[in-house]
Amino acid sequence: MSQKGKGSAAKPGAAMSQDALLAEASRAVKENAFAMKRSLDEDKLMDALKHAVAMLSELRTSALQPKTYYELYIKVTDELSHLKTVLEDIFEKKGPISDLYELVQYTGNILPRLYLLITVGAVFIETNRVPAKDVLRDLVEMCRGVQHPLRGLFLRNYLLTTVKTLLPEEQTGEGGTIHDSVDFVLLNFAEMNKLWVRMQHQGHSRDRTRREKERLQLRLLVGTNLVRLSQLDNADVDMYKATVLPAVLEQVINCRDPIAQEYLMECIIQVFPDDYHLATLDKLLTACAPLHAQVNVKAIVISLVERLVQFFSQSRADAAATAGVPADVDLYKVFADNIRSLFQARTTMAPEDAVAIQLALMKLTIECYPENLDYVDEIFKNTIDHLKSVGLTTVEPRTAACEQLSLLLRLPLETYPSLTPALKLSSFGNVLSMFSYATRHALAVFTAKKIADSNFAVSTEAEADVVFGELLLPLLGEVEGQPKSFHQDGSFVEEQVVVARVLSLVQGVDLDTQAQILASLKKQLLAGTIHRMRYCVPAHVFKALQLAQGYSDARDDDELWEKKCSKLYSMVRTCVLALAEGELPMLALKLFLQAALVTSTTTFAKSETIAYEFCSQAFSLYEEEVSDSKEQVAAMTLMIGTLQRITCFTEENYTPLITKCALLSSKFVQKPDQCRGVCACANLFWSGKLADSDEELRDGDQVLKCLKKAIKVARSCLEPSTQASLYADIYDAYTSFYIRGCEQVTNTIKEGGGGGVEE
Amino acid sequence: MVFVLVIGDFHIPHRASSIPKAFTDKLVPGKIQHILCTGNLVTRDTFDYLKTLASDVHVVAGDFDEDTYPEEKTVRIGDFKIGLCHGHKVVPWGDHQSLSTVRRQMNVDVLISGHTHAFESFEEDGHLFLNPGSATGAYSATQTQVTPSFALMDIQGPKIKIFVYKLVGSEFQVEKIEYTKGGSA
Repeated sequence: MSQKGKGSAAKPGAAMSQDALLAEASRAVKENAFAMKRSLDEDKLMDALKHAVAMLSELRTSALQPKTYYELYIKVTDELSHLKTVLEDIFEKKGPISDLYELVQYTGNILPRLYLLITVGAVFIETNRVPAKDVLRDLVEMCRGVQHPLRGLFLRNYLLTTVKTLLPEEQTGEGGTIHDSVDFVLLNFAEMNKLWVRMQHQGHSRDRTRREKERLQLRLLVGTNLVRLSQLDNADVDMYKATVLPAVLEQVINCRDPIAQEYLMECIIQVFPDDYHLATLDKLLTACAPLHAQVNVKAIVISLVERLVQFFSQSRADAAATAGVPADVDLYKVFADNIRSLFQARTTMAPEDAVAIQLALMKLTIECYPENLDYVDEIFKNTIDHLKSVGLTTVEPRTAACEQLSLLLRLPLETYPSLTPALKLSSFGNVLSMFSYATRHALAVFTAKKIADSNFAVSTEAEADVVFGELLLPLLGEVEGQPKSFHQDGSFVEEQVVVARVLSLVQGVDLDTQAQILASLKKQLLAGTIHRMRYCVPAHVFKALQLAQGYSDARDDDELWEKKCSKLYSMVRTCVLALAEGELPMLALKLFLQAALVTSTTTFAKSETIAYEFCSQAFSLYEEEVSDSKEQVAAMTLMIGTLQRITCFTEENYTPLITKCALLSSKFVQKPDQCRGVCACANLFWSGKLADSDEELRDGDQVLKCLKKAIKVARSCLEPSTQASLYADIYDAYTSFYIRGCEQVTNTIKEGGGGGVEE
Repeated sequence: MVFVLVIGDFHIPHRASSIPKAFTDKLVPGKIQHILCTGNLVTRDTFDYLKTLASDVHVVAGDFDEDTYPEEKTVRIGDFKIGLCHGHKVVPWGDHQSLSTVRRQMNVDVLISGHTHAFESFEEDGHLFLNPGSATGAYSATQTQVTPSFALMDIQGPKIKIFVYKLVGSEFQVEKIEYTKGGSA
């Protein structure tokens, strides 16, 4: 705190003094510039030069910080450009002042002398008086005379910007060639980098932070050299490969300065074109290993990869793409090999950084070689191997390494438009084993949502193994490390619904595959607790029932279809019983009824027995487990509706079942329920069908019996309004059976024996 | 002009994963004034989805619904009194005569029911009966091939224009049916 306070208190003072210094120097510059211009107007060139020297001398100061020095430098060079313009004018009109170049060399002080030399030299090149290459070489060599980092950097920046447009770019020429220009900029770059690095080692060590800040402010001056190199015409990829990059990298590596190395590597990647990088990938990556330990190599590699990824994806989107993924180099291999040696060379790299690099490589691989899943698998493997080699066998949740590794795992699932290729990967399990429960659970939720939202149907056993056996494992059953109260978690139900949606999408490529997938799912689901079964088992049961119908529909193609159906029904029975045992009797009852209904449609030797078994399971659940009166009515209504639809029973099975419905209905707690219940049961005796007949039962006696029972119940009802409405309902029932032609009912009505309905 | 969405029997997640995209693309918020849902949403998510389409959502309980909705509902929209029930309690399921009885008991002009997973609309005694089918094409034991469908009613005075949306294979089909109060004839 106190330190901070002190710093901020001291700062305004320091800034003010910088401002004051700048104001003073600016005033001197202005005065001298004014004098210089007046002398130029009066054609007194020598006087003008004298004033120019005086003006330039202001740049000799050591008191200014880089930022302020820069402002002064701009002011001075602005004025200097006036001198240059006048000189150009004189050269144009009167011809060259041949000894001017020598003349300015007599300037007493080196800094003003070199600024003047550069200015005059540029004019000479411009007016084609001397070969550019000689002047350039001369200037760049002479600038060595200034070894003060700040002054030297700005001087050389002046050199570079002044001759910017004058560099020869031809392959051949008397004034010089592209080679001369490249050599010139490279030399200037090397010298500037040395000056820049030297700054680090000057002054007190306590000023290090400030110095590093100042160095970062100056980095663009050094980088401009690389920008210029990239802009040179005719400096083609071959020259880049043979001359430019080796020379630049030599400086980068030899300077052993982390700030310079980090900045310059980044600069190389951003400044030069993509195809240059493709041609020199190996060289560039190899250079990363020996960099200073403090250099953020991760950022460098990632920035290179991301640049290439963008390049490829853009060129793919662009129909007229000229450059695609190169056929002659295997980008993956180059990166993978270099990353491996990088890891070996830099043992102190943080695990999350290592994974982040692999993540970047994965992006590139999926972009360039979407078909080659082996590469993706290999990246998974290499990543895990590396983590293990640095002693990491599990990654803790909420650590950076965990975050990166999750991203790595998600990437193929996220990027492939269809999940099919991603699910062919064999290494998910290995990666997942690195995570603890919380992360695996989060990944499972992510995957489940992805599958459900993209309507992806798991269609092969291999896919099912990956999806249900690995990715969704923590959602399908109980796994080690899960919290005890997992089912009370706020998002538990939501997650289970998503898993059920995934299950409802499962669609095997053929019936047998579907059967296999469902069979292995059954084991998984039943091993879990009831909390999960509640959502997943119904989805699974409906899939199994649908499959049974599928086998039945294709009965001519498969001799074993009956056996397969029986097996499915027995699986359904086991699953639904598990729900019943888990205290979900109503759900189980509904599913048993659905199962009975389906079985009835898949006619085969055992279908009646099986359907009967399902029905009797439903009845016993009703009698033993359903005690709530409302639920009883709801359950019975479904049982009646279902039995009316089932057509596979012979009389000896059907009659007891429907009679039982009538009996149980008459035992409802509430009178109105009894009344309506038996009325509904009347339908069973009339429109129910038996297996051996296409006709409805039309058992008028039983219908009448039901209706009479209803009247009896209604009569005993004490509440007049309820009674009235029950009579109305019974009247409706009578009418409906009358319309359907039930003689017994018709007769009763004729006899006026509606049994009270007329009341 | 009042638009009423008639939709139901989603069975998500038991029998279907989601409402077909071809349908959700059509169902944009702000165009529909009322939703009449025949039930079997199963989970709350589907209800929440319907709520995003219109604020006036009426739902009746299907046999597999977890949330408690009423067994039946009567809604007045414009000139019409519309009855809504899921239909699993109407025995035999989907039977015209039984539905007709229910309509009479509810004393409504239009009866909307579901459960059979098959679109159907018919008139009896001048009354309209409408079953929107299953919006997800959810599997049904009693229906071999289920076509995803829903209906949109455009109620104007004594007339209802019914637009039936079906997804046959991947093909989106629209049919139009007209009904006038008291019978078209």
